Amino acid sequence: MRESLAYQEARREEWIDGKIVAMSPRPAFNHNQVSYNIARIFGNYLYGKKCTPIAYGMDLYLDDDNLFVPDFMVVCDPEKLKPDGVHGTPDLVVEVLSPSTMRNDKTKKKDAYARCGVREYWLVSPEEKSVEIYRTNGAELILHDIYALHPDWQLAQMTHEERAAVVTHFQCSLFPDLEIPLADLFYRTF
Amino acid sequence: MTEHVAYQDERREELIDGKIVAMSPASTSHTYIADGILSIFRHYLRGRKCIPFGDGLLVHLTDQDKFVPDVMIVCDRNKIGRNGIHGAPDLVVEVLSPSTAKKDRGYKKAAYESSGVPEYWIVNPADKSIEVYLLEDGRYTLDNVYTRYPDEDLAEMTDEEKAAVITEFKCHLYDDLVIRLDDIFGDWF
Repeated sequence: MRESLAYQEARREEWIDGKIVAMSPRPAFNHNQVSYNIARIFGNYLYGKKCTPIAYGMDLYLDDDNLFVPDFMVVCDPEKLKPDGVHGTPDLVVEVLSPSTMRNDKTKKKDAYARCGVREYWLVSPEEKSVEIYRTNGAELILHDIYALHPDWQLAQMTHEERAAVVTHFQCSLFPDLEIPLADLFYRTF
Repeated sequence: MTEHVAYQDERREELIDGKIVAMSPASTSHTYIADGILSIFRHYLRGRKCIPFGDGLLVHLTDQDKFVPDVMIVCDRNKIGRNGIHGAPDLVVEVLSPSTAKKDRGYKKAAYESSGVPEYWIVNPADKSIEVYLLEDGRYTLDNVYTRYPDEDLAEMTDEEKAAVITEFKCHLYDDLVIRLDDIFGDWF
């Protein structure tokens, strides 16, 4: 089954906990832009560096029961990169939420990523313009922080101190010198 | 801005981990959704033992934690006092906004968990989703995530796909209370 799927132009199915799951219909505009922005941010930063950024569309052979197509991942061990996809655990995985995939992204996939030792996992909501960052403690992916791009109306109601305290940049634990502006993550979204 | 009297009047506070924290103003969708959930509970619970409460009431969880949940259900009437609820409600709903998401998913969730709140909902107005956490052996497990699909997504689906979309769910308290996502998220925003 997997062999026959491997050479299709674009995978329409994933394996989650040993079960074939149809992938959602074409992503919405915001979803597409956010995936693209993340790939661009990491692509620029990692150019000429050891770790490889991998945009949406690549098969991830996580283990025998789980074959995912993440929205974005970073893989630092070049041995895991094969012509047909990534074999093994990525260091960073990003899932951009959509109505039909949200449930698996927050439950089964998160558990599988945690079990396999993914170091950092992002859940990005293009509608809420927020990113939840989970980091591994060795066994589980623990919520580290949540960052959100504040809407203008809310900024307008804040005091100067509150506005000054609003977080506009965040970091990935893999690359402490990469400051990621929230505005870049949600650039050109509605 | 904060000096403005009308604005200051609306400003309310919680005690989170021993620190007084000002509550942020709610958006239109936040208010609409919280009201929708409350009215579902109100309608159903009329004449029953448990009492639903909306935003504005302080829950005294511990000396360090006094929160104002968006919606809650309290079944033990001894917990209901003049100045709020004393002890763990039976169900708590927090509706997310950008400035509270971290607390709702982090500190408050852990506080509700350790205080023994059996069911906790995190409602996300932007995603039109509801995460339901149930207390099992003292720890919250994500029982399910329900999403109100956008109309444009539904329009692209086949009949089988549409039939598989979950549009309603139940809470742990009542077998005969069917909660429809449409009743909570509406269709106007």
